[in-house]
Amino acid sequence: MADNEHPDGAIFVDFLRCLGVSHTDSYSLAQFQAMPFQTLFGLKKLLDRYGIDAEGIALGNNNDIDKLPLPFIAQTTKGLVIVTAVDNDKVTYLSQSEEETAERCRFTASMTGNVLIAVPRPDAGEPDYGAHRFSDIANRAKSWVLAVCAAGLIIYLFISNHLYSHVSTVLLTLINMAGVYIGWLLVEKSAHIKNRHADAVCSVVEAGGCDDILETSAAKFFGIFGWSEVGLAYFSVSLLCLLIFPQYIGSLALINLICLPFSFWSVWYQKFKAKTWCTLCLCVQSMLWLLFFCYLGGGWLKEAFPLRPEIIVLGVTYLTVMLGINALMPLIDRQKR
Amino acid sequence: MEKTNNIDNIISNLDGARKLTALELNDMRFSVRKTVITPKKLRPKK
Repeated sequence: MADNEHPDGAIFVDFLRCLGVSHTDSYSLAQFQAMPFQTLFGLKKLLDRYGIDAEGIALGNNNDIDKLPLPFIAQTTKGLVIVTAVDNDKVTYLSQSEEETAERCRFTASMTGNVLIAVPRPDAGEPDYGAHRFSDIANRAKSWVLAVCAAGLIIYLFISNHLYSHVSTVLLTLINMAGVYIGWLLVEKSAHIKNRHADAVCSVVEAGGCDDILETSAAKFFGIFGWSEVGLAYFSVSLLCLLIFPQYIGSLALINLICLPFSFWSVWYQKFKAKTWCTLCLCVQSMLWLLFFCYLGGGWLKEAFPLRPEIIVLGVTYLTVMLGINALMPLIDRQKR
Repeated sequence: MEKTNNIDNIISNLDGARKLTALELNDMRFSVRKTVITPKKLRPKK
């Protein structure tokens, strides 16, 4: 295990869930991370604090696994897993919260013979479970309230500024919102934050392509700004400007036109230099072009001329937001932390 | 004690089994990556 890699505690939370012991993920994960011994010895002590009696056993015969109380933790040649079901033909186990099955003979052959069995006491449960549960619910409620307020504001601005009255402005709003989401996924990937949605989208064109591209020097503009930050800044400012100051739509159209050549460079770089496709990056390029066609179809490009001072204000806003996101990146980049 | 009875009963049903010592438990570290027990791959034909 490399120095900067640490078990994330999924095995502890999964084990508690399988045992049916009351717990909160956030507190339990924190307790796991705080264990002085990141081993089964440490886990045994931690389980005891949760009211669970645990004991390590060296089996005389690996085939005795059907005599053990379920679930139990088994040491295999490839790592520790939680065994949840055993029958004559197969063994079902959990690793990193994902369920897998293996032929029983294959599984017992990979076992070292060492297992940890656990028997919850009648009063088993997380210490101060009630208080932690309340905290958990309150924290989740905060995220929901944020999402509802943001959605409410967007809907209010969309209606009060009559953006629904033209197909092009409806599409512009939707595409910019999608762009913010894709931009956020790209920023998370650049910050080495695991996101299942990002991984699922990235595997559409080429598995691992996004990670390969984002690790190249081309992912950074002169080595200072990440293109993912530029993308997120672009779509978020465009969306907010469209919602709050729809009269500046001409300036938005002109700035979109200026950004279009970037899509040629991005596709050329992926195809001929990196020889890898980044699905998220291709999505961003597609959105730039979709926005262009919406601006063109709605006749909004004409509104940009004659040039007005607000185009400078808009440009400064894009730059400010991009610099702000760039300043925050070291704080959220998991690898740097 | 009840704990000893439950777990000792389990161990007594297992032929040749013994309790692991604290040192042996402390040698078993957690995995960072997912563990998958895969079927044996067929050897490529020569």
